[in-house]
Amino acid sequence: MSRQNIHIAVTGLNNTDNPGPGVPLIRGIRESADLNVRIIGLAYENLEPGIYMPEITDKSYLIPYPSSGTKVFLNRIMEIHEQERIDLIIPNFDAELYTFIKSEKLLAQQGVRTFLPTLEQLEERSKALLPAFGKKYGFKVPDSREIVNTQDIANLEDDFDYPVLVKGKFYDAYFAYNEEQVTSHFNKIVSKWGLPVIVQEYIKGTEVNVVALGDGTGRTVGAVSMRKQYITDKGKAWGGITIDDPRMMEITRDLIGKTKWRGGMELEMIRTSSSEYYLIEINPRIPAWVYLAVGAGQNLPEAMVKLAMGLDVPSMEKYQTGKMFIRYSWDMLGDISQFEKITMNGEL
Amino acid sequence: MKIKPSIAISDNGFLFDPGSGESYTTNAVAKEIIFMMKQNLSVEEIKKTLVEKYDVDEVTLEKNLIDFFAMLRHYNLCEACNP
Repeated sequence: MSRQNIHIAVTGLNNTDNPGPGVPLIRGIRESADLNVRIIGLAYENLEPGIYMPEITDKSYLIPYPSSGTKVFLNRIMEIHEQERIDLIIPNFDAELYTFIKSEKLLAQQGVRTFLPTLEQLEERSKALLPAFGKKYGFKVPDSREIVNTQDIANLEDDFDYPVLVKGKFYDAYFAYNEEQVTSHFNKIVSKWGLPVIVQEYIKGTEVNVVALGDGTGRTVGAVSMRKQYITDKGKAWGGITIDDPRMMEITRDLIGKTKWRGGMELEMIRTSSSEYYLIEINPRIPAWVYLAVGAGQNLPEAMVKLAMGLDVPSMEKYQTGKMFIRYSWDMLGDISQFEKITMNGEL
Repeated sequence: MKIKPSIAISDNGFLFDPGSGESYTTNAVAKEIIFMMKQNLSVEEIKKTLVEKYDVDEVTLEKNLIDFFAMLRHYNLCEACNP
Protein backbone atom coordinates (compact mmCIF):
# COMPACT_ATOMS: atom_id res chain seq x y z
CA MET A 1 0.00 0.00 0.00
CA SER A 2 1.40 3.41 -0.91
CA ARG A 3 1.73 5.87 1.94
CA GLN A 4 -0.95 8.49 1.51
CA ASN A 5 -0.40 12.06 2.59
CA ILE A 6 -3.44 12.93 4.65
CA HIS A 7 -4.04 16.17 6.51
CA ILE A 8 -5.88 15.36 9.73
CA ALA A 9 -7.29 17.92 12.15
CA VAL A 10 -7.66 16.69 15.72
CA THR A 11 -9.24 18.20 18.85
CA GLY A 12 -8.89 17.04 22.47
CA LEU A 13 -5.29 18.14 23.01
CA ASN A 14 -5.84 18.87 26.71
CA ASN A 15 -3.42 16.31 28.09
CA THR A 16 -4.16 17.30 31.67
CA ASP A 17 -5.32 15.33 34.73
CA ASN A 18 -8.64 15.09 32.86
CA PRO A 19 -7.09 14.14 29.52
CA GLY A 20 -8.68 14.45 26.13
CA PRO A 21 -8.11 11.69 23.57
CA GLY A 22 -6.26 13.90 21.04
CA VAL A 23 -2.66 13.13 21.96
CA PRO A 24 -3.00 9.31 22.28
CA LEU A 25 -5.05 9.25 19.09
CA ILE A 26 -2.31 11.14 17.23
CA ARG A 27 0.34 8.78 18.63
CA GLY A 28 -1.60 5.86 17.16
CA ILE A 29 -2.00 7.52 13.77
CA ARG A 30 1.69 8.46 13.64
CA GLU A 31 2.67 4.84 14.31
CA SER A 32 0.91 3.68 11.16
CA ALA A 33 3.20 2.11 8.60
CA ASP A 34 0.70 2.91 5.83
CA LEU A 35 -0.24 6.51 6.46
CA ASN A 36 1.79 9.62 5.88
CA VAL A 37 0.06 12.39 7.78
CA ARG A 38 0.18 16.05 8.64
CA ILE A 39 -1.52 16.63 11.98
CA ILE A 40 -3.32 19.89 12.57
CA GLY A 41 -4.14 20.48 16.21
CA LEU A 42 -7.36 22.32 17.03
CA ALA A 43 -7.28 23.75 20.56
CA TYR A 44 -9.86 25.63 22.59
CA GLU A 45 -7.37 26.97 25.13
CA ASN A 46 -3.90 28.41 24.59
CA LEU A 47 -2.36 26.18 27.27
CA GLU A 48 -3.55 22.80 26.03
CA PRO A 49 -0.39 20.70 26.44
CA GLY A 50 -0.81 18.84 23.13
CA ILE A 51 -0.03 21.95 21.09
CA TYR A 52 3.38 22.33 22.81
CA MET A 53 4.36 18.65 22.90
CA PRO A 54 7.08 17.70 20.40
CA GLU A 55 6.12 15.42 17.48
CA ILE A 56 2.41 15.55 18.23
CA THR A 57 0.96 18.26 15.98
CA ASP A 58 2.62 19.76 12.91
CA LYS A 59 0.66 22.97 13.35
CA SER A 60 -1.93 24.04 15.88
CA TYR A 61 -4.77 26.54 15.74
CA LEU A 62 -7.07 28.02 18.34
CA ILE A 63 -10.76 27.52 17.63
CA PRO A 64 -13.83 28.99 19.37
CA TYR A 65 -15.99 26.78 21.59
CA PRO A 66 -19.00 25.29 19.76
CA SER A 67 -21.17 27.20 22.26
CA SER A 68 -20.15 30.42 20.47
CA GLY A 69 -22.46 29.33 17.64
CA THR A 70 -22.21 26.93 14.70
CA LYS A 71 -21.55 29.71 12.18
CA VAL A 72 -18.64 31.20 14.12
CA PHE A 73 -17.26 27.74 14.78
CA LEU A 74 -17.46 26.57 11.16
CA ASN A 75 -16.08 29.84 9.80
CA ARG A 76 -12.95 29.27 11.86
CA ILE A 77 -12.68 25.66 10.67
CA MET A 78 -13.01 26.86 7.06
CA GLU A 79 -10.34 29.52 7.62
CA ILE A 80 -7.98 26.80 8.81
CA HIS A 81 -9.06 24.55 5.93
CA GLU A 82 -8.03 27.26 3.44
CA GLN A 83 -4.54 27.23 4.90
CA GLU A 84 -4.17 23.53 5.58
CA ARG A 85 -6.40 21.61 3.11
CA ILE A 86 -7.90 19.44 5.83
CA ASP A 87 -8.83 15.96 4.55
CA LEU A 88 -10.30 14.66 7.78
CA ILE A 89 -11.43 16.06 11.13
CA ILE A 90 -11.50 13.84 14.20
CA PRO A 91 -13.40 15.57 17.02
CA ASN A 92 -12.71 14.13 20.45
CA PHE A 93 -15.09 15.88 22.83
CA ASP A 94 -18.66 14.81 23.47
CA ALA A 95 -19.69 18.48 23.65
CA GLU A 96 -18.54 19.27 20.09
CA LEU A 97 -19.92 16.16 18.39
CA TYR A 98 -23.40 17.58 17.86
CA THR A 99 -21.97 20.52 15.90
CA PHE A 100 -19.71 18.32 13.80
CA ILE A 101 -22.43 15.77 13.05
CA LYS A 102 -24.87 18.52 12.07
CA SER A 103 -22.20 20.03 9.81
CA GLU A 104 -21.08 16.73 8.26
CA LYS A 105 -22.56 17.43 4.80
CA LEU A 106 -21.32 20.98 4.72
CA LEU A 107 -17.83 19.87 5.63
CA ALA A 108 -17.96 17.08 3.04
CA GLN A 109 -18.89 19.61 0.35
CA GLN A 110 -15.66 21.40 1.20
CA GLY A 111 -13.67 18.17 0.98
CA VAL A 112 -13.40 17.65 4.74
CA ARG A 113 -14.28 14.13 5.83
CA THR A 114 -15.46 12.92 9.22
CA PHE A 115 -16.16 9.45 10.59
CA LEU A 116 -18.89 9.95 13.14
CA PRO A 117 -22.07 8.33 14.40
CA THR A 118 -25.38 9.63 13.09
CA LEU A 119 -27.33 12.19 15.08
CA GLU A 120 -29.86 9.48 15.99
CA GLN A 121 -27.06 7.19 17.25
CA LEU A 122 -25.56 10.06 19.23
CA GLU A 123 -28.80 11.01 20.88
CA GLU A 124 -30.25 7.60 21.69
CA ARG A 125 -27.17 6.54 23.70
CA SER A 126 -27.11 9.77 25.74
CA LYS A 127 -27.02 9.36 29.50
CA ALA A 128 -30.56 10.67 29.86
CA LEU A 129 -31.94 8.13 27.34
CA LEU A 130 -29.84 5.15 28.44
CA PRO A 131 -32.78 3.22 30.02
CA ALA A 132 -34.72 3.45 26.73
CA PHE A 133 -31.58 2.42 24.84
CA GLY A 134 -31.20 -0.64 27.09
CA LYS A 135 -34.82 -1.61 26.55
CA LYS A 136 -34.71 -1.11 22.77
CA TYR A 137 -31.57 -3.16 22.19
CA GLY A 138 -31.79 -5.61 25.09
CA PHE A 139 -28.89 -4.53 27.31
CA LYS A 140 -28.89 -4.30 31.09
CA VAL A 141 -28.55 -0.68 32.17
CA PRO A 142 -28.96 0.94 35.58
CA ASP A 143 -32.18 2.80 36.25
CA SER A 144 -31.72 6.53 35.79
CA ARG A 145 -33.70 9.72 35.78
CA GLU A 146 -33.24 13.12 34.28
CA ILE A 147 -33.66 15.99 36.74
CA VAL A 148 -34.04 19.60 35.71
CA ASN A 149 -34.74 21.32 39.03
CA THR A 150 -34.15 20.78 42.74
CA GLN A 151 -37.83 19.93 43.35
CA ASP A 152 -37.31 16.67 41.43
CA ILE A 153 -34.72 15.60 43.99
CA ALA A 154 -37.18 15.17 46.85
CA ASN A 155 -39.04 12.42 44.93
CA LEU A 156 -35.93 10.38 44.19
CA GLU A 157 -36.28 8.28 47.33
CA ASP A 158 -39.48 6.73 45.93
CA ASP A 159 -37.54 5.01 43.14
CA PHE A 160 -33.88 4.91 44.18
CA ASP A 161 -31.88 3.61 47.12
CA TYR A 162 -28.92 5.67 48.19
CA PRO A 163 -26.13 5.95 47.18
CA VAL A 164 -26.87 7.19 43.67
CA LEU A 165 -24.64 8.68 41.01
CA VAL A 166 -25.25 12.26 39.93
CA LYS A 167 -23.94 12.88 36.41
CA GLY A 168 -23.54 15.79 34.03
CA LYS A 169 -24.92 15.36 30.52
CA PHE A 170 -21.40 15.28 29.05
CA TYR A 171 -18.94 14.89 31.93
CA ASP A 172 -18.62 14.55 35.69
CA ALA A 173 -20.13 11.98 38.03
CA TYR A 174 -20.44 12.12 41.80
CA PHE A 175 -21.70 9.74 44.47
CA ALA A 176 -24.51 11.07 46.63
CA TYR A 177 -25.57 9.37 49.86
CA ASN A 178 -28.56 11.58 50.66
CA GLU A 179 -30.85 14.26 49.26
CA GLU A 180 -28.61 17.13 50.41
CA GLN A 181 -25.64 15.70 48.56
CA VAL A 182 -27.72 15.25 45.38
CA THR A 183 -28.70 18.93 45.60
CA SER A 184 -25.12 20.04 46.12
CA HIS A 185 -23.86 17.97 43.15
CA PHE A 186 -26.83 19.07 41.04
CA ASN A 187 -25.94 22.75 41.54
CA LYS A 188 -22.26 22.14 40.85
CA ILE A 189 -22.97 20.20 37.62
CA VAL A 190 -25.61 22.65 36.33
CA SER A 191 -23.22 25.58 36.68
CA LYS A 192 -20.62 23.70 34.63
CA TRP A 193 -22.49 21.64 32.07
CA GLY A 194 -26.06 22.90 32.16
CA LEU A 195 -29.24 20.84 32.26
CA PRO A 196 -30.30 18.09 32.44
CA VAL A 197 -28.54 16.35 35.29
CA ILE A 198 -28.86 12.57 35.42
CA VAL A 199 -29.36 10.57 38.59
CA GLN A 200 -28.34 6.96 38.11
CA GLU A 201 -28.81 3.84 40.23
CA TYR A 202 -25.53 2.64 41.74
CA ILE A 203 -24.57 -0.86 40.64
CA LYS A 204 -21.99 -2.52 42.84
CA GLY A 205 -19.17 -4.27 41.02
CA THR A 206 -15.99 -3.76 39.05
CA GLU A 207 -15.83 -1.07 36.42
CA VAL A 208 -14.60 -2.40 33.10
CA ASN A 209 -14.33 -0.53 29.82
CA VAL A 210 -14.13 -1.28 26.11
CA VAL A 211 -12.77 0.89 23.31
CA ALA A 212 -14.28 -0.11 19.99
CA LEU A 213 -14.63 0.99 16.40
CA GLY A 214 -17.68 0.35 14.24
CA ASP A 215 -17.68 0.80 10.47
CA GLY A 216 -21.34 1.87 10.21
CA THR A 217 -22.58 -1.41 8.69
CA GLY A 218 -22.80 -3.27 12.00
CA ARG A 219 -19.26 -4.65 11.82
CA THR A 220 -16.94 -4.27 14.78
CA VAL A 221 -13.60 -3.37 13.25
CA GLY A 222 -11.77 -3.71 16.56
CA ALA A 223 -12.36 -3.75 20.29
CA VAL A 224 -10.14 -3.92 23.36
CA SER A 225 -11.28 -4.24 26.97
CA MET A 226 -9.56 -2.74 29.98
CA ARG A 227 -9.90 -2.58 33.74
CA LYS A 228 -8.87 0.60 35.49
CA GLN A 229 -6.14 -0.06 38.03
CA TYR A 230 -5.69 3.41 39.39
CA ILE A 231 -8.41 6.06 39.37
CA THR A 232 -7.91 9.78 40.01
CA ASP A 233 -10.17 11.88 42.21
CA LYS A 234 -11.85 12.95 38.95
CA GLY A 235 -12.67 9.32 38.23
CA LYS A 236 -10.19 9.13 35.36
CA ALA A 237 -8.01 6.11 34.73
CA TRP A 238 -4.38 6.82 35.68
CA GLY A 239 -3.44 3.22 35.10
CA GLY A 240 -5.17 0.33 33.38
CA ILE A 241 -4.64 -3.18 32.06
CA THR A 242 -6.07 -5.05 29.09
CA ILE A 243 -8.22 -8.02 30.05
CA ASP A 244 -9.67 -11.01 28.26
CA ASP A 245 -13.39 -11.07 28.93
CA PRO A 246 -15.34 -12.84 26.14
CA ARG A 247 -18.70 -11.63 27.49
CA MET A 248 -17.62 -7.98 27.19
CA MET A 249 -16.57 -8.55 23.60
CA GLU A 250 -19.88 -10.27 22.90
CA ILE A 251 -21.83 -7.30 24.32
CA THR A 252 -19.71 -4.87 22.29
CA ARG A 253 -20.19 -6.71 19.00
CA ASP A 254 -23.88 -7.13 19.70
CA LEU A 255 -24.29 -3.41 20.42
CA ILE A 256 -22.36 -2.31 17.33
CA GLY A 257 -24.24 -4.88 15.23
CA LYS A 258 -27.65 -3.72 16.42
CA THR A 259 -26.98 0.03 16.29
CA LYS A 260 -24.74 -0.03 13.18
CA TRP A 261 -22.47 2.32 15.06
CA ARG A 262 -20.13 4.42 12.94
CA GLY A 263 -16.94 5.67 14.55
CA GLY A 264 -15.12 5.19 17.80
CA MET A 265 -16.84 4.48 21.07
CA GLU A 266 -16.16 3.63 24.68
CA LEU A 267 -18.45 1.34 26.61
CA GLU A 268 -18.35 1.68 30.38
CA MET A 269 -19.71 -1.36 32.16
CA ILE A 270 -20.05 -2.70 35.67
CA ARG A 271 -19.37 -6.40 36.14
CA THR A 272 -21.17 -7.59 39.26
CA SER A 273 -19.97 -10.37 41.54
CA SER A 274 -22.51 -12.67 39.88
CA SER A 275 -20.96 -11.86 36.46
CA GLU A 276 -23.80 -9.71 35.22
CA TYR A 277 -22.85 -6.78 33.00
CA TYR A 278 -24.54 -3.40 33.20
CA LEU A 279 -23.87 -0.73 30.60
CA ILE A 280 -23.45 2.46 32.60
CA GLU A 281 -22.31 4.78 29.83
CA ILE A 282 -21.69 4.80 26.08
CA ASN A 283 -19.22 7.50 25.10
CA PRO A 284 -19.55 8.38 21.41
CA ARG A 285 -15.85 8.80 20.70
CA ILE A 286 -12.44 7.27 21.21
CA PRO A 287 -11.40 7.47 24.89
CA ALA A 288 -8.18 8.98 26.25
CA TRP A 289 -6.78 5.51 27.03
CA VAL A 290 -6.87 4.43 23.36
CA TYR A 291 -3.08 4.18 23.16
CA LEU A 292 -3.35 1.07 25.35
CA ALA A 293 -5.30 -0.57 22.52
CA VAL A 294 -2.58 0.47 20.05
CA GLY A 295 0.07 -1.05 22.33
CA ALA A 296 -1.98 -4.21 22.75
CA GLY A 297 -2.07 -4.76 18.99
CA GLN A 298 -5.13 -2.91 17.68
CA ASN A 299 -4.33 0.47 16.15
CA LEU A 300 -7.90 1.75 16.23
CA PRO A 301 -6.96 5.40 15.41
CA GLU A 302 -5.18 4.22 12.24
CA ALA A 303 -8.16 2.02 11.35
CA MET A 304 -10.51 4.96 11.85
CA VAL A 305 -8.48 7.16 9.50
CA LYS A 306 -8.43 4.43 6.87
CA LEU A 307 -12.19 3.89 7.12
CA ALA A 308 -12.78 7.64 6.85
CA MET A 309 -10.60 7.74 3.73
CA GLY A 310 -12.60 4.90 2.17
CA LEU A 311 -9.93 2.22 2.55
CA ASP A 312 -10.61 -1.41 3.44
CA VAL A 313 -9.84 -2.35 7.02
CA PRO A 314 -10.01 -6.00 8.06
CA SER A 315 -11.56 -6.77 11.44
CA MET A 316 -9.12 -7.09 14.33
CA GLU A 317 -10.05 -9.95 16.64
CA LYS A 318 -7.04 -10.41 18.90
CA TYR A 319 -5.02 -8.28 21.25
CA GLN A 320 -2.49 -8.82 23.98
CA THR A 321 -3.91 -9.19 27.49
CA GLY A 322 -1.94 -7.95 30.50
CA LYS A 323 -0.76 -4.85 28.60
CA MET A 324 -0.70 -1.89 30.98
CA PHE A 325 -0.65 1.87 30.79
CA ILE A 326 0.44 4.22 33.54
CA ARG A 327 0.01 7.96 33.06
CA TYR A 328 2.55 10.35 34.42
CA SER A 329 3.10 14.06 34.70
CA TRP A 330 6.20 15.63 33.19
CA ASP A 331 7.22 19.26 33.26
CA MET A 332 7.69 20.22 29.64
CA LEU A 333 9.53 23.48 29.06
CA GLY A 334 8.34 26.05 26.58
CA ASP A 335 9.10 29.61 25.70
CA ILE A 336 7.02 32.73 26.03
CA SER A 337 7.35 33.21 22.25
CA GLN A 338 5.27 30.05 21.68
CA PHE A 339 2.62 31.29 24.07
CA GLU A 340 2.71 34.68 22.35
CA LYS A 341 2.17 33.10 18.90
CA ILE A 342 -0.82 31.02 19.91
CA THR A 343 -2.33 33.85 21.92
CA MET A 344 -1.81 36.67 19.41
CA ASN A 345 -2.08 34.82 16.08
CA GLY A 346 -4.26 31.89 17.12
CA GLU A 347 -1.77 29.45 15.63
CA LEU A 348 1.51 27.78 16.50
CA MET B 1 -10.39 -28.46 42.42
CA LYS B 2 -8.70 -26.91 39.40
CA ILE B 3 -7.10 -23.57 38.86
CA LYS B 4 -8.54 -21.70 35.85
CA PRO B 5 -6.42 -22.54 32.79
CA SER B 6 -6.16 -18.83 31.86
CA ILE B 7 -4.43 -17.97 35.15
CA ALA B 8 -0.76 -17.22 34.65
CA ILE B 9 1.75 -17.69 37.46
CA SER B 10 5.41 -16.80 37.14
CA ASP B 11 8.35 -18.56 38.77
CA ASN B 12 8.50 -15.90 41.48
CA GLY B 13 4.87 -16.47 42.46
CA PHE B 14 3.23 -13.48 40.74
CA LEU B 15 -0.23 -14.50 39.61
CA PHE B 16 -2.29 -12.73 36.93
CA ASP B 17 -5.94 -13.32 36.06
CA PRO B 18 -6.41 -12.04 32.48
CA GLY B 19 -10.19 -12.21 32.81
CA SER B 20 -10.44 -9.71 35.64
CA GLY B 21 -7.10 -7.91 35.29
CA GLU B 22 -6.36 -8.65 38.95
CA SER B 23 -2.90 -9.69 40.05
CA TYR B 24 -1.81 -11.42 43.26
CA THR B 25 1.39 -12.28 45.04
CA THR B 26 1.78 -15.72 46.56
CA ASN B 27 4.26 -17.07 49.06
CA ALA B 28 6.49 -20.04 48.27
CA VAL B 29 4.07 -22.73 49.46
CA ALA B 30 1.04 -21.17 47.75
CA LYS B 31 3.04 -20.96 44.52
CA GLU B 32 3.95 -24.62 44.86
CA ILE B 33 0.31 -25.61 45.40
CA ILE B 34 -0.84 -23.61 42.37
CA PHE B 35 1.86 -25.17 40.20
CA MET B 36 0.66 -28.61 41.33
CA MET B 37 -2.95 -27.62 40.58
CA LYS B 38 -1.89 -26.50 37.11
CA GLN B 39 -0.38 -29.97 36.60
CA ASN B 40 -3.84 -31.37 37.44
CA LEU B 41 -2.73 -33.08 40.65
CA SER B 42 -5.63 -34.06 42.89
CA VAL B 43 -6.06 -32.56 46.34
CA GLU B 44 -4.95 -35.87 47.86
CA GLU B 45 -1.78 -35.85 45.76
CA ILE B 46 -1.07 -32.25 46.75
CA LYS B 47 -1.51 -33.12 50.43
CA LYS B 48 0.78 -36.11 50.12
CA THR B 49 3.51 -34.06 48.44
CA LEU B 50 3.34 -31.33 51.09
CA VAL B 51 3.32 -33.72 54.05
CA GLU B 52 6.38 -35.48 52.69
CA LYS B 53 8.23 -32.25 51.96
CA TYR B 54 7.40 -30.11 55.00
CA ASP B 55 7.35 -30.61 58.73
CA VAL B 56 3.58 -30.41 59.09
CA ASP B 57 0.94 -32.69 60.56
CA GLU B 58 -2.02 -33.70 58.40
CA VAL B 59 -4.63 -31.89 60.48
CA THR B 60 -2.81 -28.54 60.27
CA LEU B 61 -2.19 -29.02 56.56
CA GLU B 62 -5.84 -29.92 55.94
CA LYS B 63 -7.01 -26.80 57.80
CA ASN B 64 -4.62 -24.54 55.88
CA LEU B 65 -5.54 -26.07 52.54
CA ILE B 66 -9.25 -25.54 53.20
CA ASP B 67 -8.50 -21.86 53.93
CA PHE B 68 -6.36 -21.56 50.83
CA PHE B 69 -8.96 -23.15 48.53
CA ALA B 70 -11.61 -20.90 50.04
CA MET B 71 -9.44 -17.93 49.12
CA LEU B 72 -9.07 -19.18 45.52
CA ARG B 73 -12.86 -19.55 45.35
CA HIS B 74 -13.35 -16.07 46.79
CA TYR B 75 -11.12 -14.53 44.14
CA ASN B 76 -12.76 -16.61 41.43
CA LEU B 77 -9.48 -18.25 40.45
CA CYS B 78 -10.62 -21.85 40.25
CA GLU B 79 -12.84 -24.10 38.19
CA ALA B 80 -14.77 -26.97 39.79
CA CYS B 81 -14.02 -25.12 42.97
CA ASN B 82 -15.13 -27.72 45.50
CA PRO B 83 -12.28 -30.12 46.34
